[in-house]
Amino acid sequence: MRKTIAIVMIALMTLASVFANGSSESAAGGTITVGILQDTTGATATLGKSVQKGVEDAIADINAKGGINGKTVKYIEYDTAANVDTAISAYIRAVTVDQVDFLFGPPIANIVSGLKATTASYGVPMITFAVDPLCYMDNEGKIYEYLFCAQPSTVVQGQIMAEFAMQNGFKNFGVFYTQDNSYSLSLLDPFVSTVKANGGTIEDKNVIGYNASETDIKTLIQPIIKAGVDAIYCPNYTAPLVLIKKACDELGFKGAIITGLDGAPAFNSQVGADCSNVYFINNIDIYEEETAKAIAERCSDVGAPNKYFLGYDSMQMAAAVMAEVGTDGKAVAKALETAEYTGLTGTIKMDPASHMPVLGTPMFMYKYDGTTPVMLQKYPVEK
Amino acid sequence: MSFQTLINGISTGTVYALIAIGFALVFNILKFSNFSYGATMTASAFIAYFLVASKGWGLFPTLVCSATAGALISIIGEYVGFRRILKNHSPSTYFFVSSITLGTLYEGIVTLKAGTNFYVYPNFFKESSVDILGAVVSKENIIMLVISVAALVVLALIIQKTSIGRAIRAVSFDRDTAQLMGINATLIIQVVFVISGIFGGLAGCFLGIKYTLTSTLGSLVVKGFIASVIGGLGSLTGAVIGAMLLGILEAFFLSTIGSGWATIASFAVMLVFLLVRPQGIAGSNVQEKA
Amino acid sequence: MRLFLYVLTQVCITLVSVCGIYILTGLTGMFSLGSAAFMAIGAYVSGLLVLKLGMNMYLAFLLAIIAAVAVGYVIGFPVVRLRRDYISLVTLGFGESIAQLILLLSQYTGGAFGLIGVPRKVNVGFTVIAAALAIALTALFKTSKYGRQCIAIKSDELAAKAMGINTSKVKMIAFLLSCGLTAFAGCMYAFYVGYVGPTDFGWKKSADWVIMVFFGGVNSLTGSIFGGAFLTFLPQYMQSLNKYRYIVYAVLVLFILNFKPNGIFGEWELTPRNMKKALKKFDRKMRKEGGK
Repeated sequence: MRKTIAIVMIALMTLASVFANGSSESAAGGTITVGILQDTTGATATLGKSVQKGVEDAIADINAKGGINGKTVKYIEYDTAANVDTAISAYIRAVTVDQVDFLFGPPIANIVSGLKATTASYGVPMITFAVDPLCYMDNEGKIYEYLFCAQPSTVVQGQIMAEFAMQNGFKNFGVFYTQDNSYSLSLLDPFVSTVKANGGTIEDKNVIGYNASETDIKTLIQPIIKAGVDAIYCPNYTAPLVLIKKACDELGFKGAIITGLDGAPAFNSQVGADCSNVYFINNIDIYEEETAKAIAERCSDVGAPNKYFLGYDSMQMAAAVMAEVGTDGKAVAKALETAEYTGLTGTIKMDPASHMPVLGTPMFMYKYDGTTPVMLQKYPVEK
Repeated sequence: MSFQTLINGISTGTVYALIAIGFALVFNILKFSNFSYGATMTASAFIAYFLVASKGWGLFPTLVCSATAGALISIIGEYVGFRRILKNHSPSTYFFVSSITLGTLYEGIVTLKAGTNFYVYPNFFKESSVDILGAVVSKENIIMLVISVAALVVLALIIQKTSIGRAIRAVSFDRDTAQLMGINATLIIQVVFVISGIFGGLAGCFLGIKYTLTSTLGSLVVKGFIASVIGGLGSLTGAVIGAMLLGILEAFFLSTIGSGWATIASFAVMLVFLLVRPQGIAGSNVQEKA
Repeated sequence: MRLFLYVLTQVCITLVSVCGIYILTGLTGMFSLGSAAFMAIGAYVSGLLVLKLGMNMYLAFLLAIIAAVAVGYVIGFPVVRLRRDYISLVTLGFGESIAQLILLLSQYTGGAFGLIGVPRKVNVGFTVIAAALAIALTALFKTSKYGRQCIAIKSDELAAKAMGINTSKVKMIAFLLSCGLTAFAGCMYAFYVGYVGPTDFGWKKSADWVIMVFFGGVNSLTGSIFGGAFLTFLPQYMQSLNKYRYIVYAVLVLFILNFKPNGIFGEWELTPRNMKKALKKFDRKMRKEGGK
């Protein structure tokens, strides 16, 4: 029995210690605390870790240059474990116990959707990378004051891919998307409607959704290939893309495969074979000198370089804003609405109406030649 | 259902069969569903990837390494997770919980070491596919089929013809009596775990080749579970037949009603099957003890 | 403090479902890998009723629980008739099917996007009261005629049958009660978090609950409650050790299973009488030590 009492006592004591507001030093003048709330375990951890590395490197660079207005930036990592419940408790921990001044959220729409209502009541601005516009507004379409996105929306990306594909002479498309993935789902409609608006064909029977857990891609994609389409649009994550590419090759598909950001390298090395029929979109121009240098120097162990750059740039943007208006949450959020920052991914210009970057933010279309990526077109087209 | 779909179904079934066999082996002897098996597959596939495949050593060294790793992990698991529970004569539910926990542990370690990135085995074959009667079959699948069949034949020979095999059958029939007859039950259980681990290693490696290598690869163990139940829990032949049927059934549903509905339809078929023939295809050799 | 309240809510919601699992696994010895699906049913049905039909929240809760119990009745039909190993398989398949159904009915459920914008009307007080009620209900059930019959079935189904217990009926009652409790937990989850995702209710969640029950003691309600609370609080301490979280969790449970197979609490229950006994024992011991 004594044991039980001891256990209960220990439990109570540790309980008390964990929820006590331990770190009041962050409120002191010397530092600015940034919370990095990412999926570092769970299904989407590759993306989360890449963002995290980008933000961390940006903070290191900022501190090397003397910090923000002389204040050193420190960061605390939190894990969402790709789970809404865990994400919310981590968020609340960040803003109440650790009292962070600024947050970076995950690039996953489901998590941000779950978090968004919570962000309204704590007054700490957060930049996330979930590309679905619905993540930033409530049911009535009102924008959440403290929630921002630093990546062009899926709508823009889908449109660009569709326009590009049409320009390159593809007319008849098949679509193969992941129906249990909100990112894939949100890239579906913009592409389909843009293609149809420009006179292309997408037959309903050639639009096939599937679950990422499915083990038999060949059987699933077979009807699209049999229908003889020019190109298959695959807005999926990288791991399923590798399988799709393999299945297409085995079934002897000769047309093109159009992918989102996830077809970017290291997709080519993961396929390990000729990828000449794969087109993809990216937020970075990997042949632009500075970007190429940064990739070579920093991204050796980064799973998704484009997410790394987004993390890096948005931290720099946040730092620039905080240098101007201080760390008061309301002021920072207000300034972020109209912020403009030119970094490695080009110019990010925020739109106050959607809290996402405006259309002008650059995107690049690529294809592979063998296994080497070739940049074909920059969007928006420069005149 | 087209011929191609049938072929696809069989090739999926082959992989399920390897999973189901390892699953059925342990069930046969300890009468519980070993859910740590999935993570054992994942872990051994990762070990093989990092130690052998990433150095470009070809398919067979990779398979051997993976099988060895599987055997090792499996026997460690037996010692850590099940030995004491067996000694305490705890009900079978304890084995079940212990195996799920063990699986979580392995998965945690793999995630810690390898991260959550996914990896792709190098292409072991130059040409990726061949034509059989107008259907495309990838070479990987053919090799997988051959190796799986070989492994199954060896296993059947061991169980039917050797003295160890006899001992395994005796222990699985009645552990206490077998022990009284002078069989070292602990040793036999270890042997079974080693064999099951070898199959786990092979299955993991094949899964990694056929799909991609992720730390959540082990969740496919569920398919092995279903297959071995359809086949008749504990029966090895049944597990193989069950796996093939499951693979073909899934391919058929996928090609007709699409992903999502296929899962639901497979479930419905399984439910009806269990109600109609609860002992499974091969007839369960598990005795209900009161 | 707000974090504490949030986690407390998490714990209370988990406790309601752990009560359900305790009735199913602890009392009756049935293993479900699909309990989380009933949580999903509760969350989605109540959420949709309020969002689409503008129904009163409490009425929606009630209807959601009724819906879950109705589904439970259909799925329970094979469950109570099959071998124990098959129960986990059937419930597993059922859980996956429910997840797929949610994805496929995307025009109602929001598909992969999840159910967004459920009003956040459930507060901490509500969940605490709910958890207390659920625990009381479970305790009552345990000491009732049915509860004792459940225990009899768990230890020896054949003998229980021979004693004249209608095993399918008793198992069905336990199963339905468990479904209702988990669905209720789902309702609260939806209205506390304000968002329901389709992938949050897989078999791993059900397995987590089973582990919680075993951790504290599969034969003791007190133990199950403790297990549920402890293992929900635990990740909060380990934020800094994020990477090792699952490993520590697993090692802890393995230790308990190996060295304290009945869980931390064994069969001990927190009842007034047991408390008094323990206190007396403690008192005597103190006095003895004081006398030396």
